[in-house]
Amino acid sequence: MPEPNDKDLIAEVLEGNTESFEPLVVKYQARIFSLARRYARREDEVEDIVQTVFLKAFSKLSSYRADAPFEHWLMRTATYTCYDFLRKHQRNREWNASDLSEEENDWFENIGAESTKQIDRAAASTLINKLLDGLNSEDRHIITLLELERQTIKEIAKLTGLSESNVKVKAHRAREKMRNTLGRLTTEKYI
Amino acid sequence: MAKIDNLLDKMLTASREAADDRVPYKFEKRVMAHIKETSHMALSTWAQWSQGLWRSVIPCFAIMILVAVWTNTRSTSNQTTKISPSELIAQSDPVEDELETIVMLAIDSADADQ
Repeated sequence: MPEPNDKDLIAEVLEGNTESFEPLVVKYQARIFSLARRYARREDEVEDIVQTVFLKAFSKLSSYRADAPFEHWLMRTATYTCYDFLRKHQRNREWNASDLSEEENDWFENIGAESTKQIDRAAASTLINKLLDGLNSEDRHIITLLELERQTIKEIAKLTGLSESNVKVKAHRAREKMRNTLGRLTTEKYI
Repeated sequence: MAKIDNLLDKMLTASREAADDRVPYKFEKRVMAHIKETSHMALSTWAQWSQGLWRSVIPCFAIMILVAVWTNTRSTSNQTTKISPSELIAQSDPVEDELETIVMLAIDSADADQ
């Protein structure tokens, strides 16, 4: 028996069959967990974000117009929810070389010698998160979407309500700030 | 500076590839339980509203009938009350009467001149 498609499931949910929402959750939860982990560190926070995304999606399902894939609509809801979380939990923390864990130190040691495949990706991810912590919520949101989620400037402008040129300027400044922090860190580490 | 840029690029690439999409066991069941709870709460709110509205139907209907009866009684009593001529004279405004006399006198005198 073929799997029902998103449109059929959505129609069933809108007719009052709440159970039809479960296959949609199963289908897209991994994608949303991956996005939420870019914004929150603690696992309970990540779970809260994902749960909120699905609750919002369920309650606003009647506003979904089938002119775009459901995944796009859901990811937009997820992005807004992640940004809301970021604004509420802004860390904006400066940090230095002594804050690095053993794995992160190893990552620095090996970066020059080894290929990207051999790099401990988890440690790199933690380091990036630390660099992102130094940015304000809007800049962090833009860099996350642009550099980690590989969204286009146009898509980010649409999501954030900023102009494309404004997104470019903010992304450039945010990257520069990250570069400066990284430069300070490498100087502290090797001098 | 280029070295730092390169390092940042490598970190971003590694972080991008380290996408963590693990899902806790039976997470969808948890979400569905929340959804059912929320929709049940929303339903019960509506149920409370409709119950309250249905309860208010009888008092509102009774008030409507009382007001209708009272209005009807008042208008009938106004129609049936007869006013005597002396009461009518007493009710007439002397200022209005004087004004009418003056105007009529002016018209009459004008007719007499012609």
